[in-house]
Amino acid sequence: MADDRFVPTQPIPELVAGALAGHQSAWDALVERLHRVVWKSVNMMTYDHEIRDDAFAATWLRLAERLQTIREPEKLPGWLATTACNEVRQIVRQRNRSGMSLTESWAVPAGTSGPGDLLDSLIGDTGDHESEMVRDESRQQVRSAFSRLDEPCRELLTVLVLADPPIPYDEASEMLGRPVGALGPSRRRCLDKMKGLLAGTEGES
Amino acid sequence: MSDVDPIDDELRPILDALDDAFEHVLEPVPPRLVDAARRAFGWRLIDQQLAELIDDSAEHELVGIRGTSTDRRSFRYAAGEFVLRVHITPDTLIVMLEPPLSVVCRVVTDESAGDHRTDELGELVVDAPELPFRVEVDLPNGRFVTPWISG
Repeated sequence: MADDRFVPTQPIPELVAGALAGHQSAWDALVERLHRVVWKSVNMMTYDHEIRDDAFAATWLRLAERLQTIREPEKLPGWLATTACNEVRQIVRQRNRSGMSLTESWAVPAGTSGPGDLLDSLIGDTGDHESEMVRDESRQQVRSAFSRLDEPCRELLTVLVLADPPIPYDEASEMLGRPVGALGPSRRRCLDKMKGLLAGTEGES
Repeated sequence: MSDVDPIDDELRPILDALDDAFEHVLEPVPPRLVDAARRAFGWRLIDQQLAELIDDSAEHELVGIRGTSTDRRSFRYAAGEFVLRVHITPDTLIVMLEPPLSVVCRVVTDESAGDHRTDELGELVVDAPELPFRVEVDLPNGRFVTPWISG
């Protein structure tokens, strides 16, 4: 069987079809192509290395198990990001640990100049050392603000960041087990909260 | 889905900033985890059982007798308490389950996999797939998979 025909750069639906037909090399190409999506998701959701690693592995097991139910393989990055968030949440609940309350020491300095300026400092690349230092500081502030969001908002933003092509908000919410409606986090709420945290005007949730 | 969404316009810079902020501190994935991801593929077959071939028409049909040889071939498999019959002609694939039951039936080829369902008589008739192919059926006592059928 000409197994070496599957390469990570192939369209995702072709790789999914190859894996469904039983080709390990198609699966390997999928892993190669998409493992960073899963890795980034779990790293955004927890700083606990054990939970992070277990959730990473569990996400791939879940994909192997559900591969045949993936109706829109081109949206697999979004599916993986969502599943990774769900896996982190489940592992945390099972272990009854506080991995989701991110207690990183990144402090948001009080009275920063506001989210607009802060985000602006991340844009552009002049290449000089000082600008890079400012950007590093801004990145730290962004991570810090994110870590202080509540769990539903962190999950939603993680999925929206990593879904490529983007998936609609209500679809992401649905996949996270938080259907749009009374219980689902709204983009507006998460957006406002994040902006408040970036501006240093919002307390820890 | 609306084309223009003002919330998305506001959200986009924040999502981009988050992407950048985490990308910057992201360690490479440990190789042992990439290996675990690769191995996960093997686990998907763990619950599948191989249907056992109990009859292949090619073994007892005589060359020269009408309706035999290359234009039609039949297989019979034992799948737990069920018997799965697979008939393949140049145009048509027929799957029959005995005793009859309506179940999910997948036809898997090298290139694709198609989900179908047997009817209440336990039968499925679809266009003949590319060769080789195999048939997977979700029976009450687990998923059974035929060996690859190459014609």
